[in-house]
Amino acid sequence: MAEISIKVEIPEGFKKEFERALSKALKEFSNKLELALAKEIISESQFTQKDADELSEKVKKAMHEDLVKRGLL
Amino acid sequence: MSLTVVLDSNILFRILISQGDILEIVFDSKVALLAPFKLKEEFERHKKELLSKTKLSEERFDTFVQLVFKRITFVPLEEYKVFLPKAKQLLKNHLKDEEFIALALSKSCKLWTYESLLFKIGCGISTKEVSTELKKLSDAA
Repeated sequence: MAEISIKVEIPEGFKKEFERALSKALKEFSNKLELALAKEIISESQFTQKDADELSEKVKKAMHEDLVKRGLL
Repeated sequence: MSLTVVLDSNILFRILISQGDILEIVFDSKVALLAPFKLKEEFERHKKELLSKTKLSEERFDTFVQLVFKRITFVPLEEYKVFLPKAKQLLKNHLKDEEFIALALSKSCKLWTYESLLFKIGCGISTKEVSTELKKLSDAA
């Protein structure tokens, strides 16, 4: 697997603050990477709003029926 | 500071539509997304149909779903079933959203939805409203 190394100079006496900031920045970066990948994949989707609404209704009906069957409604 | 919302099934399925702005919100680090565990099971139960309609390869579909599901906390029914009677009372004859409303009531948050009735009873939050709330949080940070 390819690996990228980044060297950063930490200002003297700021190790803890730097670690906190780095952790936050890496989390944001990871979110952005995952969003970019998700967008790339879904750009090829041919799913429509009609498909989404039909499936949503089907699923809601099944969830409701399951609650009735279990005597929770 | 973050915004907690329950995800309606109509939002979850619209994530699969190409070029949707919903995806941007789902990956926003300031939003905490909750959904009934049963929704995950139902989504997986319809995988064949979803593959056929999205026309994505199984590998790409699975990767996409994994990325999206990582962002959602699926809550077991046990945690919010005591709120089902209250949800039923609020929904009156509109039978099918009880689980989503019960979860939202249990977490004292709104349900991110496209269902118009849910806005009328004060339980729903729209995509536009979620975006506005997230912008407010960004501005405040």
